[in-house]
Amino acid sequence: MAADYTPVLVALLFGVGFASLFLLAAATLGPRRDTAEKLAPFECGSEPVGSPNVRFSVKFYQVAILFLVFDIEAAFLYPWAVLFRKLSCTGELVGAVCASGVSFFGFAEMLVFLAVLIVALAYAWRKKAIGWG
Amino acid sequence: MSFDSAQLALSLPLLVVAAGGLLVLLLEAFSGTPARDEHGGRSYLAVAALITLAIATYAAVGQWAEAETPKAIYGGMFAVDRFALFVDVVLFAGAALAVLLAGGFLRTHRFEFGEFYALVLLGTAGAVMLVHANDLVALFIGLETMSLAVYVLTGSWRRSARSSEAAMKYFLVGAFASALLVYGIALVYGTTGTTNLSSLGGLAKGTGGAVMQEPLFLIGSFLIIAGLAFKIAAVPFHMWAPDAYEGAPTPVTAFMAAAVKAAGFATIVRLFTVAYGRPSLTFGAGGWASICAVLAILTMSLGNLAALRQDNVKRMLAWSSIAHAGYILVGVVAMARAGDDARGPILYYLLAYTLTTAGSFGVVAWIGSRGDERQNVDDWAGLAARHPAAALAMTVLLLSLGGFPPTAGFFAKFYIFRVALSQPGLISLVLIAIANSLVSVFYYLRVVTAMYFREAHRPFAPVRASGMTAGLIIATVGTLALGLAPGWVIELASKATLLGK
Amino acid sequence: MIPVDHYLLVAGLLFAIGVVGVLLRRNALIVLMSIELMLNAANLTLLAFGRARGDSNFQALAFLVVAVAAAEAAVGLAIVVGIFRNRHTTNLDELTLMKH
Repeated sequence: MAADYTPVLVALLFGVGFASLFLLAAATLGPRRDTAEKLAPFECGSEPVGSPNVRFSVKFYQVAILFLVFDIEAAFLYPWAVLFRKLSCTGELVGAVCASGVSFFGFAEMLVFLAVLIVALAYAWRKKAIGWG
Repeated sequence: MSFDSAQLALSLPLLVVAAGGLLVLLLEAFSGTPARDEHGGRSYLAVAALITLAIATYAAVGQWAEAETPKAIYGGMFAVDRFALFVDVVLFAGAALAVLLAGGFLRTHRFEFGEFYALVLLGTAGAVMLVHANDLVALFIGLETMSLAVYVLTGSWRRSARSSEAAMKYFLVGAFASALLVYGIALVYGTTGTTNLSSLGGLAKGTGGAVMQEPLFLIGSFLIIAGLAFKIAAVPFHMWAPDAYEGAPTPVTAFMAAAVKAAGFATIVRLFTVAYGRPSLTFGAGGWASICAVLAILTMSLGNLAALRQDNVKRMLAWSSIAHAGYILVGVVAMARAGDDARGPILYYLLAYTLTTAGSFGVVAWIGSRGDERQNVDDWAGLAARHPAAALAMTVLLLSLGGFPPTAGFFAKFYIFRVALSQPGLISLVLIAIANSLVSVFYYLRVVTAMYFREAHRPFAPVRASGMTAGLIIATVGTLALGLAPGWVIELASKATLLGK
Repeated sequence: MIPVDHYLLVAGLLFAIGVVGVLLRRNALIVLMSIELMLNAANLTLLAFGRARGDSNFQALAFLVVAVAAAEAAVGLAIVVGIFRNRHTTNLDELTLMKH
């Protein structure tokens, strides 16, 4: 049981070992000639402008909060999709095939769910909570 | 699967309120100017909310006869019984009073919040779901729907630092309580394998009862009780309530004190009766009735003692509403022994308390003017000379809170104490409750004497709004009517059937 | 397979850390995070029990808890933003407008 994990341990040791080795080598062997350019904070290639501690527009929070809610609601689509065949069959499923009639039940359930979300979205849109207008 | 119109019809009160809430939300957003330069003067929103509540009440009343034999729908998650329908009507009344009070209040204090009406309806929908919930999962969803709406309502007065602060405290404590509740549900499910209240009750009666003595089950149950105790603000889970009640816009306070508390108590009654009916779970160490007896004593005593010290009328009423939770808990304790007989008195109490407390917070909302909420008891001095009708209404409501005949509050306490006295071993609890009622008279009468026997030291400029006047009249007349003719209501309440009982 | 007790222990620890965080920390955001931790502990418990019992219904309940947690976080963050605009602090000990 424990032996199964030996390769993981070896890989870990090698990984940590090589990383430390290179860092150590760079620190001791390489020459250090600091210039103002080199010491400037590196920010994905763009020039840093001003202090990072500025107040953000409250719009950021609005968008973040809206995203949080709508993002999670999307997760409910997955279990619905998995059960869609069962929900749309008036009787029992045989294998994955519906022997009896087909109903709009599953479809309507999702329409109701989405309608509630769309009401919320329409409200947010009308209140100009979406976008930067 | 296919549609089941019978089930949809049975859940009509819930569906009507939820759909109405969404429609009012859309109406608010798509009517008027989006810049919202109007000041809460959009009375058509209030009218739409009232129509929704009226239709929902009609639907609930229409099911009364049919619900004599309780039904479980949606896979046993949703109970339709007379108990739930009675509380539904109480909730709709509380919500309607909040809606009536809101228009004038919003306009007077110039905070533009058309969403108020939608949120009251959506919160009521959550409360209805909570009251009908026959499954811990449905209970949780209902509780959260209700609570989230009320958190937002509490913080809706965005210019008021008190409102934000109240919302912050209410939210953090409420979310903490919800987390306790969910963990409790998880433990109860893990030990018993079910979250259905009826199944839990069946387990208690059958051979599976042994599992209900397991430590994990007891911890889980205790966490659920604690979570609900937070929602009804029972001491020692009450510390959020005075601040939240004081800071919230007054119509919201009325809604919180009336509807939210009624829904919380209804849930407790259903949970204890249906799922925890087993005698070994009621009295004795760790039994819910013993816990509730301790909570009741603490809640009544601390609530009243703290209310005595308040100079702020709104905060005094907040503490008084905590004390009232204690009296209702006496009824819950009595239910452990008296069973079905205690349900009628509790329902009567919830109705009487909802009308009275919403009305009294209504007068608090009425008396303030812009930038001056006049919450101090000194600000109420001399009200009777200038506005005799309002002073009379407040007097009736305060007397009802204090339990004087012939008001609703007297009979509410009378029925609860009577059913508790009919059971052995509860006499000391009732004596403590009566002593507390006597103490409470002092602080209620303090406001009455200020209104009638002291001189006004500055002029009154109360809210003038027809909706608010109507709300105050309905609450006051209802309080008196319930007190003058209590018979038919208690008759009706005692016929309330409960699923799984 | 890892026995269910281990999950329960981890969940219990997470829950305890969350409770301690709520009781001891004074920053509103940290308290909010602690509450989320408690909800996640409850979710882990649910899923562990559900799997041990072979009952997939409780994954649905876990879904609902996640959704409710998100809604709660949204409302909570909005309230924190609101209070920061009014009071310029998120320290709960400084919210004392209504102490009597």
